[in-house]
Amino acid sequence: MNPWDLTINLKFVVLDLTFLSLLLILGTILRRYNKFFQKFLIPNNIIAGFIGLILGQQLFKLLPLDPARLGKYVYHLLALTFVAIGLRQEKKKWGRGPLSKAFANLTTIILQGVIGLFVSLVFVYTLKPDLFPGTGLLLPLGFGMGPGLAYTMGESWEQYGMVGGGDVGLTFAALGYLIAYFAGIFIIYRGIKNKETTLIDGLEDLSADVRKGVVKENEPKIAGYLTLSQEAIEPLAFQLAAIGTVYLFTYFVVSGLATLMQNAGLEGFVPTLWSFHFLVALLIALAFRKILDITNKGYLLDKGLMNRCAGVFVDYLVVGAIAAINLAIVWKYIFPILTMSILSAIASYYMLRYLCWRAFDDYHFERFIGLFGEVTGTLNSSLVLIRVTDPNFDTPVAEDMVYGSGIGLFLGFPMLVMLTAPMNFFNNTITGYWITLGILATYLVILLIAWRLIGFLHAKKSI
Amino acid sequence: MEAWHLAVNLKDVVLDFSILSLLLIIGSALRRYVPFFRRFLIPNNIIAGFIGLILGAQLLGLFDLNSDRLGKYVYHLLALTFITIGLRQSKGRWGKGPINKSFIELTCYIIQAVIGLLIGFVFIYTTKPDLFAGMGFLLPLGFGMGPGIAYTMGQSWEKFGFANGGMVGLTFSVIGFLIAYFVGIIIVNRGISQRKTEIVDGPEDITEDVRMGVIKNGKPQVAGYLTLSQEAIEPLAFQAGLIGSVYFMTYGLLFLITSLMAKAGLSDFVDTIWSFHFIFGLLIAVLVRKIMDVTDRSYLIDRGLMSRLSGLSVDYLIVASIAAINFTLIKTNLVPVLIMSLLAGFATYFIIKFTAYRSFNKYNFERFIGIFGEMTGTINSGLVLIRVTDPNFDSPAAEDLAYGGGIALFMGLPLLIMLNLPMTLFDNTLSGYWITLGMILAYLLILWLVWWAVGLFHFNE
Repeated sequence: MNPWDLTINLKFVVLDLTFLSLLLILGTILRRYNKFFQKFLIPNNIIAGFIGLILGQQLFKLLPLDPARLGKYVYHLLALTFVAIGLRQEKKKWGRGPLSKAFANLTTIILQGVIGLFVSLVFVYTLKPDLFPGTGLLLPLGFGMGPGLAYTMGESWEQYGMVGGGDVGLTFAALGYLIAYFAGIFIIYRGIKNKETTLIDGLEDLSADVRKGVVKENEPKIAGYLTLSQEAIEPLAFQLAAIGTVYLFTYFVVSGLATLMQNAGLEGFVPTLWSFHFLVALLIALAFRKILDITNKGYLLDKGLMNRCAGVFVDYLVVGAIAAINLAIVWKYIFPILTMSILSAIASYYMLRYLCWRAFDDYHFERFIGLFGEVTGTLNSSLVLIRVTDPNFDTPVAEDMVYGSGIGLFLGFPMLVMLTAPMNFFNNTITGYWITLGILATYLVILLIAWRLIGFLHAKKSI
Repeated sequence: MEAWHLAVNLKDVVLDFSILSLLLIIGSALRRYVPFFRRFLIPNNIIAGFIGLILGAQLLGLFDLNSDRLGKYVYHLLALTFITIGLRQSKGRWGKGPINKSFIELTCYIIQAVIGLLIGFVFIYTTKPDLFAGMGFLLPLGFGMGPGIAYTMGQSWEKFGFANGGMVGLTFSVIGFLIAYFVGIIIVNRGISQRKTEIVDGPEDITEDVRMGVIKNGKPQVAGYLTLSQEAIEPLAFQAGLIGSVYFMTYGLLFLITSLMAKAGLSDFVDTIWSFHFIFGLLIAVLVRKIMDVTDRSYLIDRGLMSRLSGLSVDYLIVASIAAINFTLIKTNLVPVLIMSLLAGFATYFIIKFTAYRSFNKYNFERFIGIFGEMTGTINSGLVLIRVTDPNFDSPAAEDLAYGGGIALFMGLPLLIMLNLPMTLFDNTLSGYWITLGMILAYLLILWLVWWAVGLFHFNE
C-alpha cells in the first residue's frame, strides 16, 4: 500500500489549505488580544489548531475539515520540514552543552516510552484488555518528537490492529503541547519564586512584542537574503524548488525500496518504510547540501529563506495536526491516555531535574526548562520557555538546544527502530512488547553510562 | 464551482509540484551555464516550462504532467498572485509616466484583440469556417496579460464551443514570451547600435550576476523583514495565512454570487464569474489591505515577504502553464494561431513605437522596450528588457512600468468584460462579434480622446 494515494477533489485540497490559513489568522488575533494566551505564550498554531478542532467536523461542524485529508497534509509537511532542515545546514557545534542536551533529551524520551509501554501493559492485563499495547509507544513520539511523527507512526500501526493510531498519536502531541506551555510557565513561576532563575526576577522582562506575537515596538529583523537575481527566478521559489526536488527524489527512493522489499518477501516492513520517509527525505537533503557545499554552490541556499519555509511547514502542520484529532476515538481510550501522559510528564520533570543539575555547570534552571519544553512539546516550545527566563538569549542555552537537536536525531534513530520493533519483529505479540520494554530500558542505561564515561554527567549535583 | 472541481489522487498533486520544482532547478542550472539563455536573458521559469514540455508526457514521456491538473494549478496560482499584489499594496503613483504607460497598454490590448478577431473572420469566411470566432480575443490575454488569464478565459469559453480554448490561450502566451525575449533582445541590440539608448552603450553593461541569474559577485539584497515574533508564528506563515484567508473569502463570495445568479435564471454567466475569480480575489485583497491600513494593522504585512510569495506563485504558474501545452490539441488551430501571433507581434511593435515617442519626452527607447516586453510577455519580461538598457534602474522607466499596473488593470476591466460579450450576451453569433468589435473600437476612441484631452498625448513626435 502506498500511503500517498488518496482520491480526492482538488477543490477540497485548495479549500482545506485556505481553512488552515484562516485558522492561523484567527490564532494570531487571539494571541494578540487575549491575555490568557499571552500569559502562557501559547503559539498561534496551537491556538489555531484548537479552534479548528472546535469549529470542525466534530463539534460545531462549521468547517468541513476531514481528518483523513488533514492527516495526509501532516504526513507530507513533516517530511518537507525535515527537507528544509537538511538543506539549510545547521552549524553543528559539539561540546558539552549540545551533547549533554542531546543525552538529556533522549534519555527522558526513552523513559517516557518505558513508562508509556508499561502503563499500556498494565491496562491490557487489567481494565482494558482490548487496548493496543503499543499505545504507550506513541507517547514518546507525541511528547518528544512532535505531532507529525506521532501521527505518521500511529497511522502506520493501524494495519497491526491499532484503531485510530494516528489520532492517538496526535492526541499525545496535543497533550504534550498543553503540558509544555501550561506546566512549563507554572514551573517558571515557581522557579522565580525559589530564586532558581539566573537572569530574571519576574516575568515583566519579556517584551510586549514577544507576548503579543507581533513586532510593533522593536525593529523587525531581516527575513533572509536574495541569493539569486530576481530577473531570472524568485529566490524564494528557488529554495522551495530545491525542497520539492529533494522530495521527488525521496519518493523515488522510498517507492524503489518498497518494491525491492516486496520482491524480497519483506512486505511486512513496507508500511514502516513509508512512515520513515521523513528520515529518507532528511538524508537526501543532507546529501544534496553536501554536494552543493563541495561544489561551492551552497551560497544559493539562503539560511533565512529556508528557515522561513521550514517555519511555514511547521505552522500548517501543527494546525492541521490538532484540527485532525478524532475526539470519538480519543474518548474511547481517554483513561489510559491521560494516565500515561500525566505519569510521563511527572517522570520527565523529575528526570530532567535530576539530570540538568548534574550534566551542566551553569544556567541549570534555564536548561532544565528548555529541555522540559522540548520533551513535552517541540523545539519551538523549548525556545519559548527559555525566552521567558532569558529574554534576550544572553545565555548559550538556546543555542545549545538548537545545536543539540542534530545530535539528538542521530542518537534517537535506534530508539525509533526499537519503538516499532513489536510490530516489525515480534508479530505484535505481548511477549514482543515485554522484550521491547527490556530493550528500551537497556538502551536507557547504556546511554546514561556512556554519558557518564565521556565525563559530561557527574554524580554530584553542581550549584 | 465547476472551475474548482477535479478528481485527483493527492499523490499526483504532491508529485506534480515536486516535478515542477525539479524543472525550476533544471531551468536555473541552464540559465546559469548555457550562454544562449544568458544572452537572451530567458527567465528560469520559461526554460523550465519548455524542459517540462520536452521531458513530459508528450515527447519523451519521462513523467506524466497531466494538462488538466496543471491547468487547475494555473487557475489557482493566478488568483493567488493577484491576492499577493492586492495585499502588498504597490504604492500607486499617479503622474505622467504611469498614466501614459497605461494608455499605451490599453491601446495595445485593443489593437491585438482587433487584429485577432479580423484574422479570425478572414479564416472563417475562407478556408476555416469552423474556426471559433472568438479565438483572436485570446491574443490580448495571452500576449498582454499573461498565461494565467489566457488559460482561465479560454477554458471558460470551451462551454461556448471553443474546443481546447484554454490550450490556445496558453499557446498565445508562450509565443508571446518567445517574442518578448528573442525579438526584444534583438530590438535592444539594434537600438544600442543605433544609439537610441540614453544610458548604456552596449549590452556588456549588464552584470554577470544578472546574466547568470545568481548573486555571486554582488551583495545579496534583503528578502524582507520579520513583522511578527517567531515564538508566536513564523512571519512568512502569517503572510501565507492572510493570502489563504482572502482566497477563502473569494471562494465564499463567488459561491454566494453564483448561487444567487443560478436562482435568478442567469446560470449562463456563472462560468464567466468563476473565470473572473482573480479579479474578485484582487478586490477582496485590496479591501482587506485597506481595512488593515485604516486600523493601523498593516505593519504586519511585509512588502518583501509578500513579493516573495507573489514571485513564487508566478514562477510555478509559468512553468505549469508552458508544461501544460498539449501539441495534439493545438494542432488543428496552429495555422491561425501562428498567423495571428505574427501579425499581432508586428502591430504591437509599431503601435508602441508610435505612441511611446508621442507621449513621453525622455527615455523613449527604454520605455518603449519595457512596454513591448510587457505587452508580449509579462511585466517581468518588461523589467528584464529595461534592465538591459538601464542596468541600475536609473531611469523612471522601470518604476513607471510597475506603478502603471494598477491603472491599466482598472482601465482594462471594461475591455475584459467586452471580450466576453460575444459568448455571454450574443450567443456566440457572428453578428455579436461584429458588434463587439465596434464597441471595442469605440472604447479605444474614447481612451484616445481622454488621453489627448488631458494633454499627455501629442500627435507629433
